[in-house]
Amino acid sequence: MKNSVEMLIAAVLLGVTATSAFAFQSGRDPAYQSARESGLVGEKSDGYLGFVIPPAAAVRALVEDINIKRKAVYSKEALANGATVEEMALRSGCRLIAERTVAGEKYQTPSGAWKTRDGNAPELDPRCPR
Amino acid sequence: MNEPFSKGKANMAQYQHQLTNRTDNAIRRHMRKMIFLYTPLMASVLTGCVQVTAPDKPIVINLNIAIRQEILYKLSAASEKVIQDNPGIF
Repeated sequence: MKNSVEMLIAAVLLGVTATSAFAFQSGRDPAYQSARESGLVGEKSDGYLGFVIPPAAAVRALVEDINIKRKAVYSKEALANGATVEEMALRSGCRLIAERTVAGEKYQTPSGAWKTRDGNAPELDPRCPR
Repeated sequence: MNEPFSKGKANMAQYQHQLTNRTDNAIRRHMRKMIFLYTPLMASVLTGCVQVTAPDKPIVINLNIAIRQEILYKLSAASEKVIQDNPGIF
């Protein structure tokens, strides 16, 4: 009986995680999602998207559009928290690389090199809170 | 020579010329010394100015100078919120 309750809880938790992950992914533009998956673009440590390889015009436009929108929400939230836009962006960049990149996606290390995310902990900016 | 201005136009001009000439000579002597002294110095300064070489590495300017570490800790919840509220752009 105890085992089955634990199993049920585990199943529910797993379901919630999977659903939230799916919901998160589905919020993205399909072109953006595929650019991430194919490694054309990656997360930079400063909180914005970067080009891993020289981008096609469409990819460039897509990424620049997203980065402008990111800057807008960073600015708004920074103002509400008495922080600078750069601080807000860097903090979000830490979280985006650590928590939102999945295996196979690209991220930028503090040295500026692009790395593919795998099962190991990513190389984060030394200023990221641990 | 006690009354230079009483001796007519020609004498006055000559006297003035002598005065001028004397000063001129003094300046010239001084300048000659100066040239000997300063020419090597000026030359070295000039060559120092002319030799400008471009760096072979790109100039990197670090703009992250304004990051306050204690603020980053405080932004934990805010960054979580920003990401969750805007799933389309993260």
